[in-house]
Amino acid sequence: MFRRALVNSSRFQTVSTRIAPARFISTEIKDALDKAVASSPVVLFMKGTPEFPQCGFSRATIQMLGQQGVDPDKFSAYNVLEDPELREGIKEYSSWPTIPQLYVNKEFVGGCDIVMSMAKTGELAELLEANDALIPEEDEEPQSANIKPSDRS
Amino acid sequence: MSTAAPTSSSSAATIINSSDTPGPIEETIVEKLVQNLKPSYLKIANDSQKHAHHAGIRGATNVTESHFRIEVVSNAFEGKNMPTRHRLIYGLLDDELKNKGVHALQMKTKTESEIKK
Repeated sequence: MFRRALVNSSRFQTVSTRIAPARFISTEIKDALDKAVASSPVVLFMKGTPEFPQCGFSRATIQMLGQQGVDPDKFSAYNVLEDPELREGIKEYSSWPTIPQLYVNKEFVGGCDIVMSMAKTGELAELLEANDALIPEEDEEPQSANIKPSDRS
Repeated sequence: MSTAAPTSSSSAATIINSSDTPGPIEETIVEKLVQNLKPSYLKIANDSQKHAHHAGIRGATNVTESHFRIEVVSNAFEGKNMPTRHRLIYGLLDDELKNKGVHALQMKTKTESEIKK
């Protein structure tokens, strides 16, 4: 859970250029988001869960990640509808006003449109591959089109 | 690519609204984008009806102008990556997103040279 991440917050140095300086986001939330973003190589902030997305854009994005073969062990999803602080916080953190939001290796990648267009051009596969986030290829058959977040209740 | 004939005059932008009677928010969006991005092409579609019942906007007052799809061709995007382009538009429409109940923007952002390819 997101709230779990609210511990040991004493790092003030890492000022990311992502963050609009004029906005108000408490250091507590920022630290929690730093940890959320770093919790897996691939992190998706979405509405609903991978099994039950609550929004068409979140659904399309999670399906695309599944199609690309993202390794479930290297993936975390955060349901922003569960936590209003997370929902508002991530928008400011990323300077991005909408959900879903995809991070790969702690770098903001984009929302649904960007993920879709990157998938089309092959850039998404390259990015995931470069960050070692895909299921290792063993047989030809794709194992599953579903990806699930690692269980972090 | 042939450079023989200019396909369009440089001053006239193509603007395509979602309908003949766009709502006030759509009009503001078009106005802001035209003013700030000087697009050669701008198309806006209103998808709000499709989303009027979904969880994210349950209880919202604005359900008629909440979801838009825009295609913009502008040289203001030159040298900018996708997140930067989208952020540029999000920035211009900050008030609509924060205060007017615009909930989702789908965007295609291209430069003039990119669409010629």
